Amino acid sequence: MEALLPNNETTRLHPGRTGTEEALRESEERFRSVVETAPDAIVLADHWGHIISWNKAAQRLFGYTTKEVLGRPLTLLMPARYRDAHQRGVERLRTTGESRVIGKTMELHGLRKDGSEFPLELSLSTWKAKAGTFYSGIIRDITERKQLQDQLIQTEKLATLGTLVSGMAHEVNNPVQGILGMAELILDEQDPAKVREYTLDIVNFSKHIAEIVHDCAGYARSNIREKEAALDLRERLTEAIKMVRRCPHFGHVEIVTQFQPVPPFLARRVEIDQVFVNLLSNAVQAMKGSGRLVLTTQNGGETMVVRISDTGCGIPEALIHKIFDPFFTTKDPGKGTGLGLSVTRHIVAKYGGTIGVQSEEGKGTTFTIQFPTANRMKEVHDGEADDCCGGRAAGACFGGG
Amino acid sequence: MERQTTAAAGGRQGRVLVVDDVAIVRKSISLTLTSAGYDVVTAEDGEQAIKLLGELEDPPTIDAILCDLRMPKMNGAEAVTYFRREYPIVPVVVLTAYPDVELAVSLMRQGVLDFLVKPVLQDELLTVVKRAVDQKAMRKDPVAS
Repeated sequence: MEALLPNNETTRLHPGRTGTEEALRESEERFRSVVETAPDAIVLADHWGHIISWNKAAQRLFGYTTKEVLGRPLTLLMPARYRDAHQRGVERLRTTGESRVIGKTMELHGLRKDGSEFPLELSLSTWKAKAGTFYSGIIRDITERKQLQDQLIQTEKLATLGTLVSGMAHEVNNPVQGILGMAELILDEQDPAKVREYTLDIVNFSKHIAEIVHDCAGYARSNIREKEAALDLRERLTEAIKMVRRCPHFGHVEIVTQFQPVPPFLARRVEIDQVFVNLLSNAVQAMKGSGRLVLTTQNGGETMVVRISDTGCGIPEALIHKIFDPFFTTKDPGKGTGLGLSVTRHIVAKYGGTIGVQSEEGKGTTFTIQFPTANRMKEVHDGEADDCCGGRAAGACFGGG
Repeated sequence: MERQTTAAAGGRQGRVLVVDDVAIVRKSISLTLTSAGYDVVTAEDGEQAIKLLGELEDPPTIDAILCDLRMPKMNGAEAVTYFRREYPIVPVVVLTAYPDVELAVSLMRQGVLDFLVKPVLQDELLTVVKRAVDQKAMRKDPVAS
């Protein structure tokens, strides 16, 4: 590990003079070996946010030689959109000792020497020496993990779509039956008034079909690579209701909405839609065609709460701790991937939220999602964060607070 | 609950009960059948159909029942079970927008005459309804009109 050591304690060691010094030297060599062979990048910086040391994994990850980065600011390794917030965080930590991110793990983006970005997971800590406070960042390239997560979400979305499309058959084929019937009647109809009446029926029901296709296409088209945007959770819930109404088992479920205004939420629409459609379609299936589905949004100060309650069959106590496990399903073979709730929890956690469940067999189930209200919207408005920043602590990047 | 009677001369072909919750489906099928000489009575769901049958003559003069499956209140599968139990000589044809093979097999086992998937062409509809009405007539049951 090559380094610009500010006040390197090892310079005072004279190998071989005493057993203690020898032990220290060996200890330091072991430490260096561990750091150098670590698969994760390790970057050390001084209290000004300048790089004083990094390991080979960091060199491979960012593409710079050690010589090119030593003494350079950490901002070299981050996209421009993070830099102002980072500098403020460094300044805040240096002057007040305050930090919001030390000791935490965040998902952010790194910047390679060739200008390309990549998603990373950063664990940040500080340490003190005579020359002041220093930062240690352990950085893991999570490109592959993010791709797998995206694929999982996409897979689950397609499975959900399969269910919804079979429901759509009912929604579409009914008006098509009417349209076809009216068109065939027109062929033999001589009375212009009746021809006009039947034609208007055809026009109206064609519009109805267009609406159904539009709703479903919006969900199907939503792309996993789309950017984050300010979402109104009430609007997303309303759209999700439109989708699950097409479920084959929707039947006569009564829907009650109790929407309190909630602040805009910065997220990818496809992911939030997936969360709501998953939970609502599970609820509808649990009610087997009749019952009450209550959707609530609440502004709880630091969190905003979305609650989805059904009066369905409930979840047996023995199974409730398993429901978020991947591939766990109580549905018949071929009727569920068992990924829905697992994906749901993953998405909620990704946005810094939590999801909980309360259920009583035979009475119903309530899922409660809590999202942080301080969802970077302020940073977005200030131009400090960007929609590519996957971490919930954006604006508080490496070394920042 | 609606009733449409054909004005066609030469007598009616038979009386058909159409059960469907979608108004335009009821309307188009009723017009098609009345144009072909049938009497048509309609109901919006299974519950209303059963009520209607109870209000007609005893036994009701119905020659065929054309029934949707996904409907509010009482769904089609429950209604068909009721029709087959209470009026076993009246042929029932299922007309559904939601094709489900398992359900179709189950209903055919209950004695449903045919299982049509929407959208169905006028000719096919009339052929199946005629077969149902003819079957009822061949049974020469006193219930038949």
